[in-house]
Amino acid sequence: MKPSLAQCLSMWMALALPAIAAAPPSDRAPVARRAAATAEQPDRARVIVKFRTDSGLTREAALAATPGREPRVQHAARLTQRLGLALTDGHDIAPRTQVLHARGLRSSELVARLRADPDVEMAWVDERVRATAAPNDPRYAGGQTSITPAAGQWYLRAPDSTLVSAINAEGAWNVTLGSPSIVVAVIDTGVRFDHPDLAGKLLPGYDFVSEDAPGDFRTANDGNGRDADPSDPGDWVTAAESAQVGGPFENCGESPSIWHGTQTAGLVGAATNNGIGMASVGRNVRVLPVRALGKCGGFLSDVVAGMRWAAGLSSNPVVNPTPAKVVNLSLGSTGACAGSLYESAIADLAAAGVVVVAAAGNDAGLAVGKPANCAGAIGVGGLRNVGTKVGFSDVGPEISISAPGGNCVSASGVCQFPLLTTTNSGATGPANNTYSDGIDASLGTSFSSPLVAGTAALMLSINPALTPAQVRALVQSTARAFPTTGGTQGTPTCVAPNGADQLECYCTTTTCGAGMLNASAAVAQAAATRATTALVFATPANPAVGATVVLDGSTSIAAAGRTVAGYQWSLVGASAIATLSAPTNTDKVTVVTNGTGSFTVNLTITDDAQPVPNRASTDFTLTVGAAPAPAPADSGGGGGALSFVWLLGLAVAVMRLARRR
Amino acid sequence: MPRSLVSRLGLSAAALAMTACAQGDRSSPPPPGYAQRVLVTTFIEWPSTAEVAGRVAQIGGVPVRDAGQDGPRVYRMTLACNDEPACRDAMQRLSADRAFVQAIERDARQRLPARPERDTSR
Repeated sequence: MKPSLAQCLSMWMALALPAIAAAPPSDRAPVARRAAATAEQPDRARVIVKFRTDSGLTREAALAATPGREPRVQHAARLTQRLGLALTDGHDIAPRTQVLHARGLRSSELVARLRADPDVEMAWVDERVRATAAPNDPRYAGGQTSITPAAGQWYLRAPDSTLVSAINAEGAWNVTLGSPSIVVAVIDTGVRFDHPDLAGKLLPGYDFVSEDAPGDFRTANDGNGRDADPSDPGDWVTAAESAQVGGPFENCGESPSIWHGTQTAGLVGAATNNGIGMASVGRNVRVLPVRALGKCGGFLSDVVAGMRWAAGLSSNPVVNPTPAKVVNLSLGSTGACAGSLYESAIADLAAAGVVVVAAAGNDAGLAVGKPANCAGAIGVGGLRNVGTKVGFSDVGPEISISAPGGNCVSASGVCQFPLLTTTNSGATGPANNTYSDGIDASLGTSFSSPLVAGTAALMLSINPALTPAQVRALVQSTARAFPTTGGTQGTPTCVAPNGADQLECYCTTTTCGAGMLNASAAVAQAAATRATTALVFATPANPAVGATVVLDGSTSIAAAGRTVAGYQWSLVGASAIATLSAPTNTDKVTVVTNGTGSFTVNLTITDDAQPVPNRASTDFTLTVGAAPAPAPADSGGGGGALSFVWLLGLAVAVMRLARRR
Repeated sequence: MPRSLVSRLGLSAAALAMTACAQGDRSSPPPPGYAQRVLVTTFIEWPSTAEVAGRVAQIGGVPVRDAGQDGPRVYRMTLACNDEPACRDAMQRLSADRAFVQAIERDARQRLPARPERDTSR
């Protein structure tokens, strides 16, 4: 029986309202949005004017036009004589439509004069349009009073004299808000799927944490080995476990669960401009959670298997329907990369066009570990807010770039410049989904790395043809120079690692990479070199038989200075399991599936280049699986608030359906 | 002895034998004193993981268990040795066999970067 609209609404309310109500007040956006800038300059006018088809000016322009070309407008000279104003031509916008400039009056005054002219069909003020890049997530802005840090998400904003190392994600968002067709894999401890600020941003992912030995799941901590559920059950280690000689966690150190994967995932791709919580660098990109670490880390074999699967290089144990273009590795071990499995895995990923970003490590100035020291990876060091190397960050020539890693300034009390991100309050198993702050601070190169991974995802969103080597080259060539002043008094210059601790120091290009990450410039450079490219993403990404799938080509890219003008969808070959719905010349198309297997759809786009539009085409293959099995009762370590709400909503809906009968 | 009892004993023995076969090397040695997880990269792709595990056991001179494949020519498995030096020797024997093993590496524990102390975060 199909539920009615009212039933669906009831279900939605049962699900959504408690979740919204559960969010702390500070996570809700203020009602008022920033007003658009509409102030006119008193002595300078800029307007758009459209002339009538039957006007004398239009006829004259048509007569003067080159055969086969649209007549140019450019009527400033004639209007100058007629109106007695000093007008100059701006650019043509459309047939019979151009921009006009004048001095000595306001735009609105010129509009009024033009509208009174018999040759003019319409005139408008050519308003300054400002990109609404700053998101409405309440923890984003500086000057926070109800939460810590007061600086909010300082690291994403434009740099200033205090926030020297801020990456200017806002500038990057003026170019692109990120494409959902670009996937960033977070190889980590798994994620909390029920975090409201990750809702809709996480792909299903996979859990690669294998058993320690047959029947021994102590590292996995979720009661099983590799499976399809990358939820993070917690990774706490007790003092007894750490002290157990010969045990799997010997000398790991007592620690609470830290929800590391949820933290890195939030920095890359937390839901942004959704009025709650935080913003992410990648904004609209999607996150693929790949769980490879459990209690006290995990095994190299699981990390490498997860990397290969994330990149779509392995179908073991299942096909990855949404391969990643960027892989973030905020993990590692000591030692050289040469000859290690990381070296070959990263080379394979690079050959497949996948960018690998890795954290330098937090051993206070020691040598960079692997995989950040691998030649094909973008190794990321950590910076203080003032641009000096933060004490904990490792150093070395293997580092490609540095980005904020969080710092506290004072030795105690609230930490002033941590990297605020999504986390969970549970000391062992999951409890409440929260955000890190000035008390529970996110600090470390683990969190510098996702800032670079998110930036790489934005670059690929606007220019998917970039190779991993090009991404790294652009990130490095657009980096801002390290400061040589502004550190704590007596701060030395960083030197090559020599086995001794090296705390705050002034970075050099041989110790901390090419410079400070500049997301805005990196994305702008990526955009400047782009070609027209067709992109497709599917919702749902891994459909079951009978599902209706929406294929979305609206994130396709036009060459610099162009816009996408046309879409054409078609099935590649005959398919017995998929039918395309009409029309097939729009940015989205619907596919109805009626059997298991794979089918391929082609999207060809054209841009508005004249006289010959640029064309680009892509084939998108989708695998339709069998109807889903019922969800497992235990998703790995205690359900969160949303699980309870979901069950509550389900119960309400079932009761209402039963009553109707 | 009744025929049915003989039959049952025979069946039980056969079942035990089959179980032992199914477990392969795992059941043959005495309980290992030291287990070393390793990743073996071979020069060629082998048709079965069991075959690779068998060759690793033969060349390394130690029992092998928990074998699986994690990539093209990359196999993970556990060497079951009497002690740590025995495993180290086995790995040396394997890395010396340049006809079969391209690389052998400990399946080392990967860690999250150490959580920074407050005094290194200033």
